[in-house]
Amino acid sequence: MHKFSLILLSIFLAFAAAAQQVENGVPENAYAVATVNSKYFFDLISISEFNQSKIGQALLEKVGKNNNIRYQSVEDFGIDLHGQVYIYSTKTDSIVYYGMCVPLNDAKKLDTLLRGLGTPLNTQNGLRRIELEDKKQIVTWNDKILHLFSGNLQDRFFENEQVAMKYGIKNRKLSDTYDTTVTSPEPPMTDTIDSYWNKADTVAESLDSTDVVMQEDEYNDYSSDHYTDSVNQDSIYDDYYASIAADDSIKSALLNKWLNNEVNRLSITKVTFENKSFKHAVNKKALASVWIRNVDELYNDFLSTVYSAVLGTKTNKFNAGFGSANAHLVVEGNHVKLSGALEVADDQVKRYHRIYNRKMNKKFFKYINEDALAYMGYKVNTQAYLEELPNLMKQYYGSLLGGFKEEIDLGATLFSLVLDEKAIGKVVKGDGVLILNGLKKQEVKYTTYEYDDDYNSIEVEKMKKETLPDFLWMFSSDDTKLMEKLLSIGLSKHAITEESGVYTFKNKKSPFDVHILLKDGIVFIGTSFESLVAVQQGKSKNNLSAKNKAVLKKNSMVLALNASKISKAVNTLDLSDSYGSKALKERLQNLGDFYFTSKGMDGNKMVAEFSGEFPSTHKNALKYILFLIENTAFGGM
Amino acid sequence: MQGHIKLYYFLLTILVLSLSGCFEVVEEMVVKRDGSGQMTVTLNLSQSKTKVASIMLLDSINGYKVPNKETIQQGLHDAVANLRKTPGISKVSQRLDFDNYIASISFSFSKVADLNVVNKLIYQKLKVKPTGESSYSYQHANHLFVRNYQYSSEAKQAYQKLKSQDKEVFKKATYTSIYRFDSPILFQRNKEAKLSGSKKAVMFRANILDLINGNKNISNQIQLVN
Repeated sequence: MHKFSLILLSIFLAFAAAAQQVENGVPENAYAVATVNSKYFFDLISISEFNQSKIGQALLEKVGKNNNIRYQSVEDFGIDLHGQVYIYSTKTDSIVYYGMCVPLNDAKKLDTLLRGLGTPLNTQNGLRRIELEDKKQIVTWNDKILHLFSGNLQDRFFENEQVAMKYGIKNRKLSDTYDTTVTSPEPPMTDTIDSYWNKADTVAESLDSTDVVMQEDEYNDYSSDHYTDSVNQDSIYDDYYASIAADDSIKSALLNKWLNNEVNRLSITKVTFENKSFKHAVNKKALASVWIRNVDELYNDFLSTVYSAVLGTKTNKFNAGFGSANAHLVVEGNHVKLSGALEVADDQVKRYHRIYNRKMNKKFFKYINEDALAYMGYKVNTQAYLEELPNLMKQYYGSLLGGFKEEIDLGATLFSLVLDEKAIGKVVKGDGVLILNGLKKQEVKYTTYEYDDDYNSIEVEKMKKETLPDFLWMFSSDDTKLMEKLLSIGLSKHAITEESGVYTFKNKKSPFDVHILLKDGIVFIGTSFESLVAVQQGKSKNNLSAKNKAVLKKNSMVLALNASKISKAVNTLDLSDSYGSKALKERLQNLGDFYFTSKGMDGNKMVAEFSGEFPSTHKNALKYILFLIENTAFGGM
Repeated sequence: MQGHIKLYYFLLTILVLSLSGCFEVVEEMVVKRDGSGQMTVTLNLSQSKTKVASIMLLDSINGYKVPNKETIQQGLHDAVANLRKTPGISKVSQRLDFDNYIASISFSFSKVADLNVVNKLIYQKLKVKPTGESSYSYQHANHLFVRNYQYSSEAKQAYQKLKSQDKEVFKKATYTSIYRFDSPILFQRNKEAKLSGSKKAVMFRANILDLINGNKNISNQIQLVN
């Protein structure tokens, strides 16, 4: 079967599987498991709709072409379309296995579907097995479940000398080849050079320069040496590549052997993945989920080579104090929600709880308009953050840079000594909101030239309207004395002006003036003078919805985007289509609100969520996403 | 050589900065009856200063590196130093206004033909082949000033190769030249140019895109009263 068909089929299989089964085929030692709930998938897009879609048509045609069968529906593949597909990975120090388990409802149909892959080897218990051409993938299936296996050897494992010797792996490097040449029994190069110099000196003493002629035997020695060297050079490369090929051949055989062993192991044991952390993380409403056993473990496995490249030291001691992690994708009507949680080690939980222990200043809500294009809210406890930062740095980098543990400790102590965390925590409490209110037309001065009757140029200032962002940033402060002093110095140095209690910082290089106001324990920094005067005079009128107030109150971090308002704002810009603005406007205009939020800590987990509202032009968000994919991949519906 | 590179960076800077919206190039020349005179070339990005100020905060835009203020200053300084070494050129001065993003260079020349040397020098420093033939001349005997520019479609072809975002830059850009003389002008040949009230100056204004596309030509023959 063509590889493309396999890929297409695999993608489809991920969304098509049998109902909740006790035996899910995922081995107990899996460290990462992804699940796809095909029942929800086909609830959101019916089987007939999927069959009619361009993706569905392409899949049916491609799979059918390889089997000379005209498939009418994905139901004809023999896969149960109402259950859970599991994709997982297990690992040892020598190999990483990948597997995919797909429940079946009609294995005979699958027999027909997979016959293009070759003749299956029938083993006991009705298990059929096909090794794919490259022997790096194995497909097995019985009447209940289809299992796809593949694996990758861990290079690090074979770098160990004893391991390499055991398997007959040479691990030759080109540099080793040069080392061999240098350490060969021939005299050291410096000695050779010295002897040549000595010889030359002796000859030079007895001969004139005109008499210096190379003897025939010397010439032959010289030329034959060089000739031999170049031949040796070629054979060195040949040997090197032959050695690499031999190593690869051994590794491929090992991969195939171990993969087969794993398949055998799993086929004789009825495996059901029942990891507690995994079971606890299950979200039955999720269309797709991912679970990872331990994030630190993942860092150590996959990033150790990155760290060794960047830091010049190999380490597998990364210990940020992170445990398991999970993420769920939920589609409800036109809403898509992607939520994630990361388990934090017990000794770290308290630290993070301290950092996130801050309430949002409710007075902010009076100054946020529901029509804002976007806003970002955050609340952390500055004092706790500054106090915990040295400990977190020690935790993160102390384990990673073992050799510098004392230096990191000293740096962390100095950091604590230099800063007065309590005082800083009073000046900047840690809660704030940055609002992009809109794009405002603003008069901007520019210099140009006018000419008199005699064409003498006169430099004149003119005004033009430009669209500039109108933003407001506000944050809580229990001690504004420092800022008052800074503003006072600014006034005395004429860098700042003051009017109606609002300070204006005019910077010729800045496209807009920045206005500052201190009121009711809040520092306001914004681009609209009028807005800040209204705040100062208590005339600010805003209408933040209860929903947005709640979002700001309960989350430690919020980024909210109002796509439809952004689309309208983009419309006001004088952009030509060459900037892709037309496509941008079209994409944005039907979208609703998008939120990226994080509650900070929830129990012993750090949590975050992305939620988006897709256009109601399609019955649900999944249909809209399918529409977008088809539009991109097939150039329109 | 170092100076050449810096001048290159300066001119590249001008190009990059001008990738931000409208800009104007003004060429003002005073030609005395003996053929000597002064010239001032100004690049004014003031109308786009908001965007330029924003771009100056970036490292690169549209794939072009954005130079910092010091690099631009050094580039202009080197350009002035090079001009001072050019035969016939004197009283070289510069102006660089980072508040309004205006840069200009002024200098005196002993004869109009010196400007051709300056032209050549600029092309050499830029290491670019000029598109079209460009020259200045002044005939003492009959007091005829000639600005000659032979249009070449290479400029248009080069423009067509630009990315659409980069093309935008030139759409509102303008070019103005003013040639002023001691004596009254008898006639001038460019239909797009205008004669001043005193009849001693000629002004030509065009959109730079029209010059690139060859829709307008800056060439002129200005005959002074003998």
